Amino acid sequence: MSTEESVKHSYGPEWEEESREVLSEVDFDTELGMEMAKDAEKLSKGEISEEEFYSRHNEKVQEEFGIDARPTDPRSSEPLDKDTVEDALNDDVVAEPVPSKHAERAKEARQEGGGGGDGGDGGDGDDDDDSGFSRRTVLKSVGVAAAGVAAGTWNQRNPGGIWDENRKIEPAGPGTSNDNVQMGFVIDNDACIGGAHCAQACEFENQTPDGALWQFVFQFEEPDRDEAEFLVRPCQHCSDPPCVKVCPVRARHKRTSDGIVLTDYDICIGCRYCQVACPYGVNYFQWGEPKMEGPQSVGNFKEQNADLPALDDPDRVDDPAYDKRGKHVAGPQPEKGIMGKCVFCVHRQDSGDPELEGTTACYEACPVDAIHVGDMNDPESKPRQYLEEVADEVKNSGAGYDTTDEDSEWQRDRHVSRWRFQEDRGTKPNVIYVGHQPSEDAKWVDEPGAYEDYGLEREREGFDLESDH
Amino acid sequence: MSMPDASPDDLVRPIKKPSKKFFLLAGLSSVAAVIFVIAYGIQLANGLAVTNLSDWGSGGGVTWGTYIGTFIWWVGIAHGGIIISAAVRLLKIEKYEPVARIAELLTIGALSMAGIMIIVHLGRPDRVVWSVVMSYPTTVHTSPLAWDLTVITLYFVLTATYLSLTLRSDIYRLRDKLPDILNPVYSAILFRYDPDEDPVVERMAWWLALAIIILAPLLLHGGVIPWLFALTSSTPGWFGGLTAPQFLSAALTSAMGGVMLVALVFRKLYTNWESVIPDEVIWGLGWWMGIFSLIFVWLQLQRNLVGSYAAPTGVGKVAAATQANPVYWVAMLLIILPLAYVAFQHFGILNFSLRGMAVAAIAVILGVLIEKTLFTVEGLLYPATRLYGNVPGSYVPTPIELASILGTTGLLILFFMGVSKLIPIVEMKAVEHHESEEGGD
Repeated sequence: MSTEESVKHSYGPEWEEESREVLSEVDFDTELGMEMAKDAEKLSKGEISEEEFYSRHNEKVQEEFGIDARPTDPRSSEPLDKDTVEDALNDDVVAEPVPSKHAERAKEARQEGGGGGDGGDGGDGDDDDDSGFSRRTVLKSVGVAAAGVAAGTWNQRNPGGIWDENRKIEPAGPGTSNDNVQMGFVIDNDACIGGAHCAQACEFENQTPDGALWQFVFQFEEPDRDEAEFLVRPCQHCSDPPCVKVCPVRARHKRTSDGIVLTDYDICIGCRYCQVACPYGVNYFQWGEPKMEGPQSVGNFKEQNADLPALDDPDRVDDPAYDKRGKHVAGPQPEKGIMGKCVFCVHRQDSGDPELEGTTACYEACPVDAIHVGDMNDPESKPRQYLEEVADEVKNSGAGYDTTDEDSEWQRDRHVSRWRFQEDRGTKPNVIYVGHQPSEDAKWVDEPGAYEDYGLEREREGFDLESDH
Repeated sequence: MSMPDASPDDLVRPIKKPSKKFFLLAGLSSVAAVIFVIAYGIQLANGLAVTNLSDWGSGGGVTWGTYIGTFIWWVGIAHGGIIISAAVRLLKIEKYEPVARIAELLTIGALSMAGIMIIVHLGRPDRVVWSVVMSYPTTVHTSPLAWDLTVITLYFVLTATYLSLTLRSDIYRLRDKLPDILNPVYSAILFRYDPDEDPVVERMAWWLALAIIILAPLLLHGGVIPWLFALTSSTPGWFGGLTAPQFLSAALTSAMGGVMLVALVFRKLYTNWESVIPDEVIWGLGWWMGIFSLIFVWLQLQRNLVGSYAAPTGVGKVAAATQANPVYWVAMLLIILPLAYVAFQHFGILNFSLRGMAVAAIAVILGVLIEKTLFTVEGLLYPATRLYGNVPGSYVPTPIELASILGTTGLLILFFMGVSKLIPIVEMKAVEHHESEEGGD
């Protein structure tokens, strides 16, 4: 690791300033927060023991918060108060019931009925508010980290990008083509109204065949809630993509210049192992002949993208289905017998048109701006900025909620958390979701708002061989 | 025994006499192969859309199905075959020497069929050599499919080496009994043969056998093939440490059945072959088939128990689905009943019957085919992504897919028939042992 990077990763002056700013905005002791954070780093480096760490600020924590729920001796600590712990666990630190930026719009859209089916107007808020512990108390009891640093945690944990390891594996250097860009999405599922505009736009933009839903929207229900929830599912463009790992011919690869996961249509042998290995089910095979003309066809795609400025470059292949490296990875239906999937609208990224670069069809089509596209390693990018906004809203709104607001019940139900889909598969997905995360028991529902209602086909096109059916 | 002793003349008998039955079987097998070729032609022309395979996920289908299930089946028979032959050579188990070469031939034939299944499974078979070779230095580090191609090639080479080495002295000594018309073939096999090489070849074969026995649980059906599945955590039906033992037990069960079946057919077709491959060999193969099917059934029990108790959601779902599927129980019965049959014979409750053993062998072979195909399908029907888990997915193979099972079986039979017209499929050594035993009495 370079010195420059290690400075970035450790708690340098830049971090201190930023953290002070964050901490000063909450009611608790800024100095204490800073001290504890520094000690936490020492702990992680092994410079001090866990025991030592917990006992160091015990008195101050008691004084500041009225309670220090941290074990002073991790081996012989008294059991924590059961209710306190459970409340704390049930309540995401960042999961304050404050709608994100677009939640209002989403709510309006739902009320207008302008989307894919709303199961009801909010379930019963089963809240812990009157259990004797307010959320504020809970925050206190969880300790300093929870209260003060919460909003800033995201940045501090990921100072260099969303996956620190990437920096180590692929260091940026002047003059190299790899400037460590990792394209990805931040998707606000709570803002999503389930209209499947993204899926429709994707199908149109990429002219994918019926059944190949590169962009897909789950509508799901939780057992204890009447309300329909949505999960927008593009390819996650993972930083450790299992599909790339298993590909026996290196057709599936991760483009180094921007981290997009692509399939080289000229190499793929159609073994479908990528599809098997991907936990997200984002791959769609070209089962039959691709359509060359008419609606949803290769011809259409080429026509739509005939005027991309980059294609005028004599060094570029004059075909939008080829990317800037001259590889056949983009756009429409792959040839018969080859795997396709979301290409992050690579023809847009390589278009040479500043208005198209850094955008995708799904992003553009979303009526409630639930999809944010950009470089996940750049703190200034749109998706990272949106995450900041969400964090700020949580932070600024305070820890309680406004019970005078007529929407409060609905708002209480919202858990504005930030998470990655099936992160435990070790794929390092580059899509960060905001909002409700489907539980173990979440069920995908087709009705209301069946996919077919949006003019999209879920099943692949069949084949009628007379003797066959 | 009242039967005349087996002699070298018995060994060359299949080479000399094509009977009516021979032509009948060849005809039937050819029809099966032709049906398969036509079906594959239709698939090449129209794409894999002619199968009932689909995209798992939002499509609710399975992307690997009959082709992959049949591939596992063939590879299992092949790998089990080479393990049998290696065990015979390594431990010098004279009793089973009559089936050592049959096992080796079964390995070569079944591996070829497995290779055909992979080609049939691919969307772009035309690219397989070039794409794989070009990327091999990179993919061999990461892709279980690249490992798979590696070990299949390795075992093909090992088996072929083995077979060609041990064949030389037999051909040399039987030369005057072999048909002159095939002289070019025999000259090729005997290229620069010197009788003094025999002890060297013997030692080489022993070392090859040792390599195979050591590598079998690591790289064959106890390794790379199950790792294709066991390493994908997003499919709870496949994932886990039990997958490889399950594969290995299934492979050995079906290979024992396969070797026994081939031996029984040759015994039936040719005069005095009951002396070449005596009853006790069939009896013993049945015993081992029973042992391996017992292990197979026991491992199935483990998987079902773990899946039914307090399993994680994904594991529980696939276990429940498997248990609710009648096809699974058909497969289990096809293995449990032969197991019981063999056990009852050994307990003395049932009499030993060659016909019964043939039926038992066919049953376990079919059982393994069904179980392995179901395993492939259910892994994809019940993925860890529980949101998809609620998609009402289903899969029933089309006739085009089923034709591949029929066709490769036909091709394997043709392969055996062809080989048996060229070389003795039982070693001279096996017959000589009988002779020396008799001489000793």
